[in-house]
Amino acid sequence: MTISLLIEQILNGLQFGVMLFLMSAGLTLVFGVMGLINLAHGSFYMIGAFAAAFFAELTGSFFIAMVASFVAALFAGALTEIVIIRKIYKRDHLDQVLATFALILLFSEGIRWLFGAYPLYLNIPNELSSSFSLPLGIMYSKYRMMIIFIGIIIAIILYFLISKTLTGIRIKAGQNDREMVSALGVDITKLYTIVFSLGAALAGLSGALIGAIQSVEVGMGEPVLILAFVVIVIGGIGSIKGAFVGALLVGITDTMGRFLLPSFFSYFFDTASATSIGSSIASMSIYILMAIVLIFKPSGLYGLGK
Amino acid sequence: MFKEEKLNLITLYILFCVPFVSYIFDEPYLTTLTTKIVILSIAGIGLNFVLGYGGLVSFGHAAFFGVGGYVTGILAIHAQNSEILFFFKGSNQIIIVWFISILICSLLAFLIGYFSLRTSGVYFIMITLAFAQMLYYFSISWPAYGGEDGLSIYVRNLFPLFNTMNPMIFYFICLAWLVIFLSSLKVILNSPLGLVLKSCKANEERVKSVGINPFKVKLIAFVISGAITGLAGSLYTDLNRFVSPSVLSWHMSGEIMVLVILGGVARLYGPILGAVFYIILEQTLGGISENWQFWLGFIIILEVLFARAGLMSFFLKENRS
Amino acid sequence: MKNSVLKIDSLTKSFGAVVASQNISLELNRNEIHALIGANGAGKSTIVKLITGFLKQESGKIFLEGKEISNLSSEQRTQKGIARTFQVSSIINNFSLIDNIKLSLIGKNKRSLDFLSNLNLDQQAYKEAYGFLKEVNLEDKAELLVSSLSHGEKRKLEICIALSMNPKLFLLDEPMAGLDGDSSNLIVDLFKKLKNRAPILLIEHDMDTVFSLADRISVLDYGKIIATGTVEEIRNNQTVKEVYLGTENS
Repeated sequence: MTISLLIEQILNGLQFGVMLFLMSAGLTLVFGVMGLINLAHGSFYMIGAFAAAFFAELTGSFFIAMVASFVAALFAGALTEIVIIRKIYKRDHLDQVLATFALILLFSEGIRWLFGAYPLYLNIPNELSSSFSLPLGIMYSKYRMMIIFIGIIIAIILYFLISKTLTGIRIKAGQNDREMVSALGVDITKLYTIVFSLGAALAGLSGALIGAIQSVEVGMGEPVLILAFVVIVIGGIGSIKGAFVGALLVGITDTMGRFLLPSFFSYFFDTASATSIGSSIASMSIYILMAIVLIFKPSGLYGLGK
Repeated sequence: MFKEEKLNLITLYILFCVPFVSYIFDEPYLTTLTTKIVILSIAGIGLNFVLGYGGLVSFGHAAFFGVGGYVTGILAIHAQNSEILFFFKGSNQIIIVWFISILICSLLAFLIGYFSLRTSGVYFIMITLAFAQMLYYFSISWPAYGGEDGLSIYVRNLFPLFNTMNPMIFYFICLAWLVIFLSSLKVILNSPLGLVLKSCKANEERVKSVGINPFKVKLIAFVISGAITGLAGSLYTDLNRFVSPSVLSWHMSGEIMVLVILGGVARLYGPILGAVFYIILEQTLGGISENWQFWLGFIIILEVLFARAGLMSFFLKENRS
Repeated sequence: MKNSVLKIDSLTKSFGAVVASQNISLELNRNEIHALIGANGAGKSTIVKLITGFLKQESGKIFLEGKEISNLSSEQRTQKGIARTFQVSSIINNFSLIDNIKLSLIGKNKRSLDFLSNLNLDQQAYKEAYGFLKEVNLEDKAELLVSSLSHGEKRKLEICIALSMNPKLFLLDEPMAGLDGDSSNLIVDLFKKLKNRAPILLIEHDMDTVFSLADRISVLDYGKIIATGTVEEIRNNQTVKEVYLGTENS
């Protein structure tokens, strides 16, 4: 195991974490501001990826595909919020879980009907398909590097949006006291639609970005959704900062776990067993991390304690 | 409550008659299908105990269904191959398998409950989901028992004197378990613990203010719930003679939850109606279109928005919410 | 010391920069009704939560009959003998009256983990619960759902629940909130019954009731106790008069 391999894996962990952040930010905001648990968030990830694949095929431009993913997911989010989500803000969590679970079925089967059962392909644009030359002789994929940068930039934008703009302040206020904010004359309905759609758009973008590295298929969103849940449980529901920290923790733990554990076990077992034991335990590592965090901080690292 | 009891008895009576009807019309498939309904009902009844009566929205009950299923599959495979598992030769004696499945699922429920019940609300939902996912990914990556392809056991486990491969016999075994669990839960719900559990759903602060520690009560309820759903998983493996990671998936957790809620939360026999409805949908709509789950989603949304109380209330023509 | 049932010693609790309770000291002795009064926002509910264990104090101690309970959980404190009523009703609406009492009896008799006995057929539990309902004249509504009760009857039920716990002290949190004159009088009669069983720490902001009932009064203002004494002493207390000048009575 060389240093360069280690650093490459850390970078992968960062990339994974940054993508998880894009997913988690929307989820945690929606919960923090509207008190809504949204299982359909993974569907927006999927919609973004499919939109990107479709427009990449249509126009040949990767850039347009990315924009399309953001817009498509934004639109899907807004439509969903207006037609259904709006009606369940006041319902208990069980109703929200059910309704949004039903939405997953609707979206998944809808996409399957539109695009068929086979995965679509989204290709990394040629300009980004080669590797960077980094110090220590590391070659790292330009595309993955771009993802890391995009994620950090979006984190910074979100930070400024929430803490410096009027909309952002309203969002933060809404997290603390929903009734007060609407009593103050802020158009709560529009605010909620904006928050929900923005979250969906971010999820769609991350789906599109990852779609180029993995495949674009129905059901791709749910595993990521569940990881996002782990992220916001660790980070604390309602906290963007928590989502960022949690996402990086999860991304790095998962990647390093998969990388290091099989090697670790090869000291005790033969290669085949070491790989299977190692990767099985690695697949559980982030959940163990979650359990440990919960023992010490039941509301997560930066939780608002709701 | 009189009308509800009547409906419950009618349901049991119909369930009892099904295999005879299917024998008369020479449609053994009907018996197998109804066995699936009964098994899913048991899974739902386990979940309904904590969800409907206790207000604990567990989105990870597939963990118990799946572990019960895998324990059964693993024991059977080892018995069939005569390989040693933890100094033990495996077993294909169904009674022993049931005992071990219930034991392991209870322990698992204790562990998961111990961590999850320290939280509440959204955290609880997400954490139970996360633990089930953890087991799901573990089952895919652990190669010894089929991984993603699953595990076939070819023959059902052995029950003394009766041939479990006979659909009718296996059906009555499952039905017997359904009746056992329905009766047991009735007893438990009428007990002091039952009243405390229902109170926790209504107002947990009240419970603490009369000197009761809600955590212990919820944990015991969660263990009982996990054991019941776990046994359903065990029966499911025997029914299909096959088990795969899908029984541990979040989709499975969602399905169990859907049938509990469709049938009517906090109605003892609700999950049975929910399972019947769900399977009928799967069979009829599924026959028409591969995308039938689209319509399932549509129906669930309609139900959440407009018919919140579930099928049982619909049949009893009550307006409970 | 032997007369002291509840002793609160220098309790302090802050929420960020807001000091909700500052060095609160208070004593409840046998056979007395000790009222804690204060305007809305003075910190009464914080003190109630500190005593009942729903909030943890930053400093200070709480003693029940001489034994420290400052680090016990709320259900443990109830087990030790603190019975409280809630300002905003906490009785379970879709249960019957008798089931609500049975619940507190389960707590008192430590039967919460019993999942085998049939509570519905339990004659003894029924008799015990029925007996307590009779003490507040609600026994003929025993099988009805709580949702069918009037506000005044719900308040009586709250007190009945507290009675059924056979506690060492009653902590009544604004028991007369929202009641009209007649209903209030019924509740006041109940207080006399309670006082015979155990001392009462009464949290109230209605002056009339307090002056007519209490043996001793403590006055709370902005998180601090500014005076403690008998009714006469408080009535004549200069500081108290200044604070309450302009509000209802003085």
